[in-house]
Amino acid sequence: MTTIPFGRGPQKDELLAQASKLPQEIAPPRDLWPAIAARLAAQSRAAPRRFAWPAALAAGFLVAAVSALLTWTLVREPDAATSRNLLADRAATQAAPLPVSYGPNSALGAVQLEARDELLVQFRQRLGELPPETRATVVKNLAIIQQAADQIDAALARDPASGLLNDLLRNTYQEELQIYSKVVTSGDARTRRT
Amino acid sequence: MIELARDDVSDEAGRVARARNGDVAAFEGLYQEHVGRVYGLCLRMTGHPATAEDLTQDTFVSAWRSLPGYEGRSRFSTWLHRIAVNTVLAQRRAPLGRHEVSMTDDEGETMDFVAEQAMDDATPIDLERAIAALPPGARDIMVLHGIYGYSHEEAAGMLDLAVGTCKAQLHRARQLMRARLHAEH
Amino acid sequence: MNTRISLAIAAALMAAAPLAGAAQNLNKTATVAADATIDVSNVRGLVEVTGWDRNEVELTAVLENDKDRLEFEATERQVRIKVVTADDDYDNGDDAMLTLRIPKGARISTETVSADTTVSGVLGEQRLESVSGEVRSQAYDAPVKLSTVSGDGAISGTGGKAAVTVESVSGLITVGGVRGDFDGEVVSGDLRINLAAVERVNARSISGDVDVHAELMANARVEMKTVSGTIKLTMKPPVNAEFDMESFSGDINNCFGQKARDKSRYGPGSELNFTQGSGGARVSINSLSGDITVCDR
Repeated sequence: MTTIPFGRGPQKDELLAQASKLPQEIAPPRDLWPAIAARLAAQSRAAPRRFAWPAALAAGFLVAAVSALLTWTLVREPDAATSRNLLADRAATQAAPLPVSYGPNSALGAVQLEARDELLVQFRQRLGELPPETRATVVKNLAIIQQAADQIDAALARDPASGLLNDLLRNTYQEELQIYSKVVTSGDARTRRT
Repeated sequence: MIELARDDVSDEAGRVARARNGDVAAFEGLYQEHVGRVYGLCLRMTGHPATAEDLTQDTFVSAWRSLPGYEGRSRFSTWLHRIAVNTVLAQRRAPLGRHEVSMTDDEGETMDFVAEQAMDDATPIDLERAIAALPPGARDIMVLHGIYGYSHEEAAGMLDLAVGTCKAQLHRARQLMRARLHAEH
Repeated sequence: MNTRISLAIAAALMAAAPLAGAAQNLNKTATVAADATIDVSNVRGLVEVTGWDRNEVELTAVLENDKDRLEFEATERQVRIKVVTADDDYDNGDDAMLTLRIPKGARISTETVSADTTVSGVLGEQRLESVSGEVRSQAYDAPVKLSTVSGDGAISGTGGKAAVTVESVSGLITVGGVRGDFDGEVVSGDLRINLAAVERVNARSISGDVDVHAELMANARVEMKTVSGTIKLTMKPPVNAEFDMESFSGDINNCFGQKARDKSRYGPGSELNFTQGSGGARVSINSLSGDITVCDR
């Protein structure tokens, strides 16, 4: 059923008048509250971890990561390839950087963040195979990205509708993914995998 | 089921205040009050019901987190709508996830969703379809200004566009809609 | 198989480094199409590629470790060169030095972990990647893409219209003397870019500084953004452009006599939008906290 007069196109003002009569509320096909409530609950559980990640702790983590790596290079046995691999894996896991955590004001949907998970698995694997200084650089730059995410999130609390901030947020997330994929593809130049 | 209070400014202010303090039940009351408008907005801006559901959820979750920053300068529903618009725009710009949102192309090809969403026989289906068929920029302004009654300035602020650009998009929206609705008759 | 000639070349290449007795010296050649694709992969050491007039690929390789292996596969359209090291021992320090001459019209793609890469005289498309090695190349008219994690990069051109794309996490990337589209992205590394008449400039950083000198064409589109790095755009006068700049908490400076203003009376952020000259080009620069400067000198 249409309220547009038959036979002639509507006048401009009439279009807007008709549009303004359209229902503003449309009930979603199902109740969304349970899912929302679950996410709110999950958030408050996760919050302690995020708020425990200020810059000082990030630096502390970096120190821990680098010393774990140094320990690895010192204890390796030159002619025991197997044990070295095990140590490499262990070092990689010990020093495995957590993905960047995006704060409460940052609208990165769950779907987008899931895309990261697959990449992370390969990233951690490859990270363990990189030279130690490079590993340290990667970890340090992930901390820089975390810091950027925190700064943007704090700004979003003050101006949630800002196109600038949301654009920078998305860019920051892309840079995080770039680091992972660079590390993953760097494995192609490596040796034993022909 | 939560008994909804009258839509009364002081009642809502009370609810907002309690929600800010972490009262989830109060926030649920706000959800019940505003979900229709948020979903309506997301649905018309995205053209895809499943995505609109996700984005509606994202909007409320984001609103919960941002509550400390809500200073009451604007109406709560406007503030919520701002978050919804942001969430929709961010999703458009972001890498495509599970729900690939195919926006209408410039020829105005559309998805037939809106007809299914018509509330009752009185809803002008042709009009909803015509709006859904608009290219994203024109559709955004027609939805915010035409359906939800935001002024040019308010809509421009929400979409982070210049007012002039918004007016141009509105003009384009009207022209495209006229052409389409005229052609259908 | 060591020959006198190989030893001489090897010695010339590695004048400073003593040759371990176990080094391998290898030569390979292949006849290829003028626009063949050459792929080179190395871990540590050096990759040096030069374009020449012959439709041939000539490789001289010195592998310090006698347990390392060189793979060389060639068809008329593609040559694949890869150094396979015997172990992952990064502290061992055995290098592989690859010196290549390829048809100047060929396409080159290099990947290294820490080996430095130098390419010159190659007119075909270039794709140069390294984790921590330094990458240097010359750009002509074909696209050049450079990507590192921590390695520095330098691209120099002689005014050709190569489209240049650079990405680095923490390296310092310097580009000069090209006039194709430019696209650069760094996390904490810095971008120092000097472009001739360009149409598209796109530069992004998280905390790295971006310093671009460019001559903007009439319809140029420049887009730069950073979270906390500084952005500096110096344009060759006369400047005819529309500027649209916004920063959440950084300063917006310019030498055109314009003053940034608060984005809104109630909220944070400042912006500066103006048209210089007759407009035409469009410059959009955004930052969270980094300072922005645009000037014509």
